[in-house]
Amino acid sequence: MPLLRTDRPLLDRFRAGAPEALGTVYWEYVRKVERLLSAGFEVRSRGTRVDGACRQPGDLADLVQEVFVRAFSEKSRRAYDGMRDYGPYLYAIARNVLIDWARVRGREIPSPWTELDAAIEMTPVSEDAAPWADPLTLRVVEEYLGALPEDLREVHRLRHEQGLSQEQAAMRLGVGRQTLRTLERRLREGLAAALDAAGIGTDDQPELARVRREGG
Amino acid sequence: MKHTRTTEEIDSLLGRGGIGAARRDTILESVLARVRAEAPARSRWRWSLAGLGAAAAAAAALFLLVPRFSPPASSPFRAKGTVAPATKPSAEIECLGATLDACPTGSLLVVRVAGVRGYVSAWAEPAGGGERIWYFSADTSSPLVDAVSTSPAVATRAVKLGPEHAAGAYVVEVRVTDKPIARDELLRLPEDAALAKGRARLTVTLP
Repeated sequence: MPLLRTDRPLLDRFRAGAPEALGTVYWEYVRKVERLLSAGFEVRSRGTRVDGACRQPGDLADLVQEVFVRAFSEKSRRAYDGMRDYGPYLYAIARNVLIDWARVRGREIPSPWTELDAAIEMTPVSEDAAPWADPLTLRVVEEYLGALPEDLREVHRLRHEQGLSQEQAAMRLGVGRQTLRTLERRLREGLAAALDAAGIGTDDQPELARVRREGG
Repeated sequence: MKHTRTTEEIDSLLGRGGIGAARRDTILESVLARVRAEAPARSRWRWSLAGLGAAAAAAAALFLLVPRFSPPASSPFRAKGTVAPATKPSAEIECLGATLDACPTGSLLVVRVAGVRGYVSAWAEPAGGGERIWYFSADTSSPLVDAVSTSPAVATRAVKLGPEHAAGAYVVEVRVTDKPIARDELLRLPEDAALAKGRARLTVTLP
């Protein structure tokens, strides 16, 4: 959706740094940025590839945040012309962040930086999805999700499939944010229990144990 | 060996990969805090090299992702290939949206490191005595920052000043080391063993 290009008032608020406008843009693009950072991208003219960051959610989260910090800085907000779609502009920032990350980690990117920069503008966001867990975990998660009661199924759909914010999801569900947080905690606890039952243990994970205790 | 999963990983599994819904919320919160902090002049405290304190047990603080402090690009298509000039190892902290002299509870306290690559440990000692508050250590999370390869500096984590911080003065200690270090060892760490170290006075106020 050409969000900023077709909504001039939103573009003005975005450029001014209004939090709700930044939030709207963030929630529109965050999952696409995640996919790009996770999958990496091809530099076709060189026949080479910049690997995706991310088998570790922590790394991916760091990179996603870095992308939006750069994109939402005042200079970057004002540098966006509003004439072209915002997505490619944002994805270019994301690719630069991924290149910086690869460089810091010492991963080889066998191209001059200037050439790489020019080339990556031409490459699309990859939608390739690598397996996100081992086969057993995949099966347990899918079985768990497939058997969810209606209320948790809806929470999962809005928050994890559609990628809505807590505020947006709570509004759709017609509940308060505290209720939504409670439902989300039940969702996590249920999956943790399913993983435990399948022998994919979490009992020695203090954070999860805390979550369970808080859930009563 | 039993495989362990964090809450973050559970959230990621629920999203069939990716960073998870709750983490996305946190990232937006941190990014907006950074945008808000861009407007007013930020108050920072340049840290001096300093020694260690010592005391009692630990309390947990809430860790949040925070923006890195590489300078924002004016365009995503900026030139590459430049190498940052050598920077003297240093560390500073910042209370986003406020000052170290009056940092309200609920604020984000950011550690910024320059000229060094290593693992960050940090904690706060109540100036009037009391329970030490741990922010970063190998016991929980000791973020790796690389302020050598990137310029001018990065900080990958911040601390949200939660209710464990009573209003009053604290001395915040930070160490950057070549490996994550546990709390007990940090308190015994010789002065010259850290790649960088610092101390700053922080006054926590009620919001």
